[in-house]
Amino acid sequence: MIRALWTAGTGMNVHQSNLDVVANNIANVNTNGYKKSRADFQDLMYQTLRLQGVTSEGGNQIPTGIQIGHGAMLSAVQKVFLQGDYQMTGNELDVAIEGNGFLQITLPSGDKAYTRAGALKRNSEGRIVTSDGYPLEPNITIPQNTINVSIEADGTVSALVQGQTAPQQIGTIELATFQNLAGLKAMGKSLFLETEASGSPVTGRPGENGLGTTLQGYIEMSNVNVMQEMINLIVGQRAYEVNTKAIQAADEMLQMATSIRR
Amino acid sequence: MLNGLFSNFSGQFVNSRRMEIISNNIANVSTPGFKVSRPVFNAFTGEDESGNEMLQNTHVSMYDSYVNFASAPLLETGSKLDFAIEGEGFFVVSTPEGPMYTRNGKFTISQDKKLVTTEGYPVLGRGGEIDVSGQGGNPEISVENDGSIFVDKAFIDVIKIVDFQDKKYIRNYGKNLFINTREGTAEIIPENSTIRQGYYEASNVDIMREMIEMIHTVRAYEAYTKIGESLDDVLGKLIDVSRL
Repeated sequence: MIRALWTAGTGMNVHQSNLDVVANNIANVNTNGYKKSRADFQDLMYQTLRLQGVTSEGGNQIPTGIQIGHGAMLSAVQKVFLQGDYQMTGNELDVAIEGNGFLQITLPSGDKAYTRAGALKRNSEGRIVTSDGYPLEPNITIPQNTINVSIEADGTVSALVQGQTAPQQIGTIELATFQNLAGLKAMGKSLFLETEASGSPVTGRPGENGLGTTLQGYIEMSNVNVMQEMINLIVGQRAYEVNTKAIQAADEMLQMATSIRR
Repeated sequence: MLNGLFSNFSGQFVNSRRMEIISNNIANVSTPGFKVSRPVFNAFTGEDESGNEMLQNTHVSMYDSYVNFASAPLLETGSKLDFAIEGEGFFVVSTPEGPMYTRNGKFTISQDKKLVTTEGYPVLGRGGEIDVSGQGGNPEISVENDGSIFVDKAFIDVIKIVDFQDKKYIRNYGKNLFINTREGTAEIIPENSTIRQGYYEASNVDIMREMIEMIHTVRAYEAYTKIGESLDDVLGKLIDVSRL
């Protein structure tokens, strides 16, 4: 009887985690380059009270035996790298990636991070940086007195400087991708880090190796689908509720058991 | 009189076991590929010395618990590593304890570029473990309805689906896996099963049914409790009478 209480408790636990994940997705419904997370569950181990296939006293074989489960647990929270919608901004340093590539960023620690949030900026030295000021890798510096920056689909960045007639090439955006995107570690700030599970990055110019091409003047929006999250929210809340009912029922039964002897 | 108490206790006991199974079903209402379990009760009738049945010594026990393998709705995710089986059968997973079976097709890719479950157990194709490394970059995986896997447009293998003539010996292992507990139970290839990419199978727990089962269990338990109280009363009176 006590086991039923714990079992339903594990059910409440997983659905609470589910709501945590859904709430984070909803909070990031307008975060550029955000990839939604999803919680996966699995059942816990079973206690076998009687093994199937054993022969009973009467010589009959017991067909299935008795198994009692111990509830559910969270098996994984993984990122879903579906493409988000594109939004046209017209901003010359906004870059969206059509494909599986990531922009490469150098963190202050010197490590590399990867992002799909392509709202790039120019810092005081003219370097192309993310909103947090982390420079792009390879580093691209925009010369002074630049009138116009253009980014081609193959990643070539050119600048038209005042006084010149032809734009000059100032660098190339290189993209990176991974064998197993779901293995990347999300570090917040729309950045992802390489892990053993993701494999090492495969880098190249946009358009190579299925990295995807770059698209200037567009931004990739969050891939959270509000409708789907609302449904997850409803299902999660109701599942939580029904688990509390199971706890109540078990509690009621315990109370009855203790009240037999008055 | 005491026999009555024992029979009554057996009824109370099986219902508390039943409640445990129901709460496991409810806890797994969102577990992909989960299959609901049900208890089976059995009444034992007492016999007197000459072999006649008597109501005395009758008790109830939990004789069995079985897994209901009915299929559950397939839910769309769009994720290329989610698979669902439409029809009968299981995916085959290689674990340290031998092959196991699952209906949960939410897979991922391991460090050594194999198709694996979220626990890291390799999913088997007809030719063994499935290598999805492709041409180096992020592999483009597509799976046809018959289970053929194409990585970067090259044919790799066919996802293995097996079924059993008799699922009696297929029992729960936990971690969304099922295990075959009897060597004689042969694997068969289901004929009309197809694989759908971008979908997964939900849990087949029906909350409505579980709620009803739960109400039924609690009320049955309550009835046994009342009978227990009455028997206790009667016994008490009997003892009072004898204290003359």
